[in-house]
Amino acid sequence: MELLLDTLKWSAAVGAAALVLTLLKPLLDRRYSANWRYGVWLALSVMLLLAPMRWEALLPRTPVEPPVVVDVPRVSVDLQLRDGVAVTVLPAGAPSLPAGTGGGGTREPLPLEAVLGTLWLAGAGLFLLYHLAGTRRFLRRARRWSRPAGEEASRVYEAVCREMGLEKAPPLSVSAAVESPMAAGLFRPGLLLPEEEFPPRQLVFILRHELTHCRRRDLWYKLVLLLANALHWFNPLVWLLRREAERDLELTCDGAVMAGADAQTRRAYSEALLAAIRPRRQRAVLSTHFYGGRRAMKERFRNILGKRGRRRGGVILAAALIATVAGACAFGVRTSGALSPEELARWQEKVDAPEFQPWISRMYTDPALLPPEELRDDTEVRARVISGSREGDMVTLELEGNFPNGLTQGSLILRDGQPIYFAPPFYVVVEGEARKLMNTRASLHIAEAAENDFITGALEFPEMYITDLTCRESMAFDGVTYYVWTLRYRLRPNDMGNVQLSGGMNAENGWVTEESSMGRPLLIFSLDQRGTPALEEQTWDTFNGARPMGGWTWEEYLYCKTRLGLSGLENGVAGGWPALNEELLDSLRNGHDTWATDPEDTARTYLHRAYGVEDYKSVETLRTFQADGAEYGHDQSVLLRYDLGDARGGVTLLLTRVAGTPEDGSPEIRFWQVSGQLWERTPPVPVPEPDPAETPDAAVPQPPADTPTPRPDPRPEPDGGTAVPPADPNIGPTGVIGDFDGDGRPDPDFLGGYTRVDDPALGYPVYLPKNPEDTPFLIDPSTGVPIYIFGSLPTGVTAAPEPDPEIRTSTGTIGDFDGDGVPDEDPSGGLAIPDPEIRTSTGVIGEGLEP
Amino acid sequence: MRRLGDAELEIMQAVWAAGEAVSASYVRQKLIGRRDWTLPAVLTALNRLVEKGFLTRDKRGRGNWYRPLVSESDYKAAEGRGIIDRLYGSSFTGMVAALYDRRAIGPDDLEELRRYLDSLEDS
Repeated sequence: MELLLDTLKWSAAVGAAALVLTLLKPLLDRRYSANWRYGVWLALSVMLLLAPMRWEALLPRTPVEPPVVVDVPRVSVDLQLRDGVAVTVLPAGAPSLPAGTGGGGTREPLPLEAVLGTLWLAGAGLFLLYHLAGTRRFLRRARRWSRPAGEEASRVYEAVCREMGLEKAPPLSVSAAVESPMAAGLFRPGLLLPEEEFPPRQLVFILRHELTHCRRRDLWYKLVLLLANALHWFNPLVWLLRREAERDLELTCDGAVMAGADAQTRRAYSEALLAAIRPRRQRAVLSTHFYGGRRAMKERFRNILGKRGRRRGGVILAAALIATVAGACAFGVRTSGALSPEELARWQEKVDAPEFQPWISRMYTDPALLPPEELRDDTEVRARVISGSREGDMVTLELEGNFPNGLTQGSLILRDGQPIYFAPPFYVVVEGEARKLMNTRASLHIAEAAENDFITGALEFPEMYITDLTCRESMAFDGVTYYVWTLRYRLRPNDMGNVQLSGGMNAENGWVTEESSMGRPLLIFSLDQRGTPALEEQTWDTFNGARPMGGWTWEEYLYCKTRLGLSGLENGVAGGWPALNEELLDSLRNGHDTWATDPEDTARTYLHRAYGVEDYKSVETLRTFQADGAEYGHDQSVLLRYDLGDARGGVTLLLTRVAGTPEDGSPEIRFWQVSGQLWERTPPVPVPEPDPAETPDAAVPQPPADTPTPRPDPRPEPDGGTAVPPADPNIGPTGVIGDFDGDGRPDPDFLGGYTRVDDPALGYPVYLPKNPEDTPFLIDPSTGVPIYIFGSLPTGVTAAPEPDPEIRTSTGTIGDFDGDGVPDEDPSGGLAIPDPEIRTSTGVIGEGLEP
Repeated sequence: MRRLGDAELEIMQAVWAAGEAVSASYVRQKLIGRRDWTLPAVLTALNRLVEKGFLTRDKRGRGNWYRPLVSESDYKAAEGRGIIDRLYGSSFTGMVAALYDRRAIGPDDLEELRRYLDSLEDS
């Protein structure tokens, strides 16, 4: 339909130009010669021939794979249980989600289009058939009755050809079937004369005229006019164009024949023309010439005798005219570009039509993914056309859907007004992956249940639904955008008894919901500039509010881990090198190992110690990251790339500034760690572990392995005293700390590894280990059971306390005056039996101390 | 009237041009250069033309002599009465470059054109 309308517009524009030119002819002829019009008519005809402009649309259609246009939801689509989604239950015959080809769904064009199109082509065909067949028949007839020209005529002919400088002259024949001299034959041109005697002088002019036609290839010119007319047979102005063009053709031919001729010659030529006319008995009934040939003849006389304008300024006029027409044709005929608001409104109407429903409904989630109780019965699916563009006969519309909770978009691609392909929104691609994940988990449960000996029934999940699929985060780097989606789902087992409920699984109203021990699943997708989606990884959010594992910010995680592929981030923030421990903090506090306070120094030290890298060509800061120190445990990160030269390639390191708080409560110390690395070539062989006495950091991390190295425990958990850990090497067979000689009391030499601290405020001694890896403990005065102390020690405890006057014996036990190692039952001196509720000098009950 | 094929037409044209009864060998002679037929071939063609009603055959002496039954102008006129021929006329068609457009010039136009040309030449 577009094709037809465009052709009509062109036809009208060019026809109008022809009309204008024809009307202006008398005026123009006063000043200008007719030669320029020769070019104008040709140009207009060519424009008419180019009118449909998309000739390929007439060819049989080959299925074309439209470009996959995937749009990205800017707002999350949240399918919450409470809200429900308005969705069409797709009719049985609706087209299913396309796999990629755009073949399905094309419908028959509307009858009107087809009728008009066929009519047009039929008209053009008939027109051409009439003219070409008619000419052929005529020429056949002419030739049948023809014979070669007589002697005298041939002599004259030869002379004329010589005069005109024609090497190969077309053959001259005389035919009983032609009534006027003519040049005929496109591929084998020949001259035909009627069967009569022409005086030589007259003959000369006649022959010159016809030969000029041949030389100028005017028959081809006429063919172009004919074809243009055929294509625009419905436009009378195009018929006018052709007639005027053919008239001008004769004029210019006369002009060429008379080029440089004097007045006498011109008169003779006119006379010859007049004499050659053999009028008909009556004018032909089917003559299309309103004014008859008389007028044309007069015009020719005027032209030959020079009674008209002879200026040659026509070229400018021609150019102006053609430009105007071209502009008029192009106006409103846009083959590519954005759609105007009017066009969009027109498309909106179409999109609202019921036959578009099966396509629009693909914008919404597959109803199979939702529990039945959540489906509302709204059968109308609406979409809003927000923008569109056109490329040839393909139109792409950007549609916006109507979710209660958010918006989703999709691209509908149409050809010639018919939808051929719907690019589902990125959301649906994501949903596909989420569904896959859900199915995988379900299969896993089924397998586990099958292996469980206590479960007799076969587990099945007849219903599985996604209940939450939300985009939490999106970030773009270098033209690629990354999206993080969280997923929740629930499964209904055929029998809850068949389900092996393992950690993280919950049973809720007959449904199994699950949260893995590592949190909710996260799906990370990337979308490149072409709109191609890819699932980058599936990870977990570790229950910390859709944050990536390890304590990183999303920017750090997506850029360093997902995009660049650095390893080591799985160890988490503060899990890098150098290890965060007391020694390091001590050392830093005392002013040693200051390299760790600078990221580049840290990086260099790491490369040197771990890989023996002494030098490098250059270092480049690729990116820096900021974080909220309180929330993320680090406040800055920087990505550095070291170029180690051609042989070793380069290495990219992620340096993170972490904070460690010493156990003694002094202010936190910030230093840098190498948290991630990426070697471009094989990394150099790591050096063996250096002597621990030299370096404060105990372990040098190994080169990246497949499994992440276990995270070293940076600090003890601050949860106060708990039960004695099992298999404690400090506990002897009697269960008393340090009692290895079995006498029920700590051995003296054991106590050599501990420093006893007596704080009067505490009321009991605390044993601090000399080895920082060991844990301090106290002995419960009432039970004698040693109790480890985890976490912070009560304040006031120092390493070098004053001697306690109540400690009399060498055993150091409070109230032990009889030297048996345990507090006396009835100590003299008024020493009270220590209160199980121990109060410090500040009056705070010792935290977490359990007898 | 039936339509003549190309070869038949040439034979008829030769017969018409002669103006009197002709023999087969005469026809053959006339067509040398355009069509080189053997005498039997000419005879066959002449027989066909007799059957079609274009020629009549008289036996004179040793051979047959052929006279036309249809005049040239009659035939020419008849041939031109086919629909396409009539529509197209014998002058102007789309794909030939004729000296002038014959279709729309009548006898009175000729007089007017004469006067016009005179006036132009005089001025």
